[in-house]
Amino acid sequence: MSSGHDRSSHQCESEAAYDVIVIGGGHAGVEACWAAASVIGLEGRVALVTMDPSKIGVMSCNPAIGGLGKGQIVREIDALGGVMGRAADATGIMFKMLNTSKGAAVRGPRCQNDKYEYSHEVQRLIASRTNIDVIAACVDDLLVDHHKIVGVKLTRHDQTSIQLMSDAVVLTTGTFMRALMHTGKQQTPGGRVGEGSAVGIAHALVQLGFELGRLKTGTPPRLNRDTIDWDGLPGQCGDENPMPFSDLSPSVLPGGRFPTLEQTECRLTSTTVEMHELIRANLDKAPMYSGQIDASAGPRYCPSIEDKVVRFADRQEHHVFLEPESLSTNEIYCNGISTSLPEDVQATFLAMMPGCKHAEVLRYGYAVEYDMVWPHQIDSTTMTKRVEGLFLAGQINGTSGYEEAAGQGLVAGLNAARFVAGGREAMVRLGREQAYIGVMLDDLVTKTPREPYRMFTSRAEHRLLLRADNSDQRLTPLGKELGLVCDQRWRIYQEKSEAQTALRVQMERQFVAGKSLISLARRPDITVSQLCCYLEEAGLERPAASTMQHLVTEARYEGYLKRQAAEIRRRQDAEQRLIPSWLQVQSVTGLRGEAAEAIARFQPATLGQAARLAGVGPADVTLLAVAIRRGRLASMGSG
Amino acid sequence: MDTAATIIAISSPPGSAVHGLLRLSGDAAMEAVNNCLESKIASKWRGTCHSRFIIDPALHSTLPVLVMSFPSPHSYTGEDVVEIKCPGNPDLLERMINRIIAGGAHSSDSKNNLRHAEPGEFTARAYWHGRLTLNQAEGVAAAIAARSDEQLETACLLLSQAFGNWARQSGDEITQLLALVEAGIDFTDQEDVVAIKPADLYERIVDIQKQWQQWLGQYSVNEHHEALPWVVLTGAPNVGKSTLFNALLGRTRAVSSPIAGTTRDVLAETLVLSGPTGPLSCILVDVAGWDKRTGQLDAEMQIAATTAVDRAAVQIACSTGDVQMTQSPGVINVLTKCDQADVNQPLRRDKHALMVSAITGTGLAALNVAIAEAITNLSVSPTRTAPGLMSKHRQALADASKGLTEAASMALMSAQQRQLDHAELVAAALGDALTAMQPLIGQVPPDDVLDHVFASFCVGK
Repeated sequence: MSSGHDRSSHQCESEAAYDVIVIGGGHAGVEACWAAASVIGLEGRVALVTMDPSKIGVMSCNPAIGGLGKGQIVREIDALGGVMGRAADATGIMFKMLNTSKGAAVRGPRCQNDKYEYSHEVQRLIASRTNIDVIAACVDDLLVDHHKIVGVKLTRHDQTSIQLMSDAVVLTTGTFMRALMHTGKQQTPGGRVGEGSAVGIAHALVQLGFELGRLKTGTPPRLNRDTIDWDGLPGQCGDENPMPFSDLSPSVLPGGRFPTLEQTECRLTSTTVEMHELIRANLDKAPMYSGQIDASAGPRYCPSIEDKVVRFADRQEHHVFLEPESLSTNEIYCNGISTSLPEDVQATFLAMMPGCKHAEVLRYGYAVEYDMVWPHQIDSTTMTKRVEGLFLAGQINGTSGYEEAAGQGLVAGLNAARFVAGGREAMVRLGREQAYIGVMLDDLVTKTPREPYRMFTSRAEHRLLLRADNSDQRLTPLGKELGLVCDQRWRIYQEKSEAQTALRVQMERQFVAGKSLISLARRPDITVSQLCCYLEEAGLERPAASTMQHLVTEARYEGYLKRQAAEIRRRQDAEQRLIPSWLQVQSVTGLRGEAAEAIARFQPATLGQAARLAGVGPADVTLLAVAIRRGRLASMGSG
Repeated sequence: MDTAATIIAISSPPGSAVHGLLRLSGDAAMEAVNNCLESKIASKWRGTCHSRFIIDPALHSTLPVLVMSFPSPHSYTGEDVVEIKCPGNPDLLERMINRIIAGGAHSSDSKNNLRHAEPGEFTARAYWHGRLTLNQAEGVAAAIAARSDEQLETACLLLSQAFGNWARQSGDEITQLLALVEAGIDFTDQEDVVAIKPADLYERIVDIQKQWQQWLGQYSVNEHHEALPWVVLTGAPNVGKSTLFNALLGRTRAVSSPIAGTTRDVLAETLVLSGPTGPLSCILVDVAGWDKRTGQLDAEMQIAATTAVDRAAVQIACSTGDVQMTQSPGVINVLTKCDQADVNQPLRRDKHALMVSAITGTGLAALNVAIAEAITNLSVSPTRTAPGLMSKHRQALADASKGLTEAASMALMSAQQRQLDHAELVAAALGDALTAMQPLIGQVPPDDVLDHVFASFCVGK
């Protein structure tokens, strides 16, 4: 047995065996252990290893779930029986559907959460699973034998060691791997204020030959609600009739009440010219500009306030959303001014914002840099190519955001459980035409990220198909087949499907002024409630607005969806054709150098993935296809 | 590569010849051909028959053709293969392909899709269906690589430098518009993002389409020329290229004079040669001399000259014997002005060069034969598939234009508003246009669209 570290110097007191081990209790780790626990059933055992069990499911940054593109992912997680949507519904304090003025495909559900209630709800759900053991410990080493994972070595808080043995380990290190926080010149090791940094795993990964990278992210300051002058700051309310993320919520929330918690609002303030000048004058103290942070570029879609005043110098002000983090505390999250400037500079510029002259800073903003594993080293199953049975999910793969992490976690947990039971062939890949989660994993394994990866609807070429309203149709039958979906959820799905089918039949049979209702539904000038009224007038039962909305959406996109379906069929051949591991890229005659290099680096799993690599053209894919067939024929001939 | 589709391509050598050959392979080959024939062939029938090809059903214009049917599995590709032998006019072959594709598109079954063949696809299919041996497969791979590089090159240079630039510019403009529409979708919760106004979007799309119409007009005028192989005269200034150009044509076209650098432009004329199997057409091109010393040529002319040489099927390298000649395929070395006495006698007896005098006519007949041979040899090489590519490119633009029209009409509907009503559908239509343009500009990954957004807006809270 070989491993990243010399283990002989430590004596292990005990050993335990698990079907699946999940390292990390963030949003990726939670979905991973939940999915694995669902798939392996009550006979199996899943370990969730975390440095601090009270931090499981914590919202480290923004106290919100969902958004454009992200909300769709939460719906997909829910359709596959996951945790995030349920926890968000139970703890939301302001629900808002974004982009309501636009078509259904690009609407994104989002909610503000009570961040403490959120993590408690997640912890409650995890505790409800009898086959998940939560273990408080720090990972020292990964145990690997002949390129296969066999377990992990842990140190518990009482400094005793333990070895957990398993054929499948899911790593979700988040921002904790060799994490370093920056506030001005001040540097503190750790992935979150007051917490530690994971060093052992990083060493083990390097020893195993993984290529690590370093990324940077940041978080804004938190202010004391009671010290902000709220008068005159415009408010932003949630939706009057909020939609839950999870179809399960109305039946499982206490008293069937959704939303459960008291609803609140956000307020809006802004930066000022004076504040921009101050920031510009202090740029040399910002770690990102002084060169103190040696991370790759930070995310362009979530720039720090330092970035904003430099890149968009002509702007007089930037919006700052003041978002409550909890109903029970006075913490206010300043959305829009992530910063790593020194505390005294932060204190000065915060007081320049309208309403914040006397605001008390509860926590200063900081930047955090952390190790990640360049994602070309995983397959879209999330299993690493280098070590069989080792899965990576979340920020370790270079993504950003709770939802992105959770989506990967679910796939990792699912595949870890399936791998243990049925080997490589049993693992599942979600297609780009199936789910945003599929788009994300495919992007991760075919592109070199230049910044933490965040989902946008424009990343999905089949956006009209991948909607929040049809996530269950797309994924719940698959989830049922894989064992992710419980009976209750399956029943709800079936009832919903039946209602949709019945409504469609009714709409095809009912005519108004010689036109069927279904053909009227295609017209943009006819509203959902109008259609419902027509049915009522005909003496039929008024359908649920959501059911009608779904039908109208399908009807309006029909032509586009047909076109996309044709395109999907056209590509299917390449998407399904696997590139066998015996194929030697160097031996493929005629491949251009650039293409051969990209293929050798990314080791695409399918011809479809190969075609999406930068530097690989259609002719190269043809050559690969020919080489694969030739190899097959040759082996048949010799065998 | 979509292997279920039926594919079609011109299989005869480029340029005018007595006979042309179209080849189809795939499940829908027989049905697609039958759609255009007066007397149909029976399904799975093997043999050769005469029929008439319906060029234009409205005008009842038909053409005598010879149809050869090779049902699966005993055909070159192992699939159903149909070949149509017809008069070898490049324009005609193009029209017939377009007609067959248009006719085949009525079938809604996607399995029976009919499309232009990819480079090397007939051979690849032959291999996949076990019609080639393992040894031959190596050759196939090399041929596909060679052909696709050619295709890429042609896609980049596409007819002329200007056309290629134009296609890329159009692609960039559409990408930019798509980015503006996407910004209005993905970043509406951001302070700074103002989506493009529908009226502006409409105008910008219409501008693109106007340009396209202009270009397509020019394009179809040049089409005939583009389908023929180019024979380009190269050599130092004053070596006698223009005189030779006139002599080969048998009339005066180029302004030839004894002053070096007289030819300041690219001259192109159709030249008809007598080939081994009948008359052969090509485009004879005279470019400005390569005079690096004088710098007289402006950049544009230099680019025109380089482009012409790049796409030459055959080069006639002219010299008066004062430079060493190199041997390479597709290049005919010619010693000009052999009627004049010259001091460099030893070099002038280069056995690899043709001795020609445009004044006395010496060697002109031999040069004619050499050119005809070089063009005929092209058909043996797997490269030079210009006619098929061109038709593909035209199709690409037509498809892209459909997407633009759709986007424009939606933008027009919201023209009085500040925001687009169906931004996601407008984006889908613009995306379709970019996808259709892929043969011209390559793929535009979503990341490029996002790059545009990030570069122009302050996004992120």
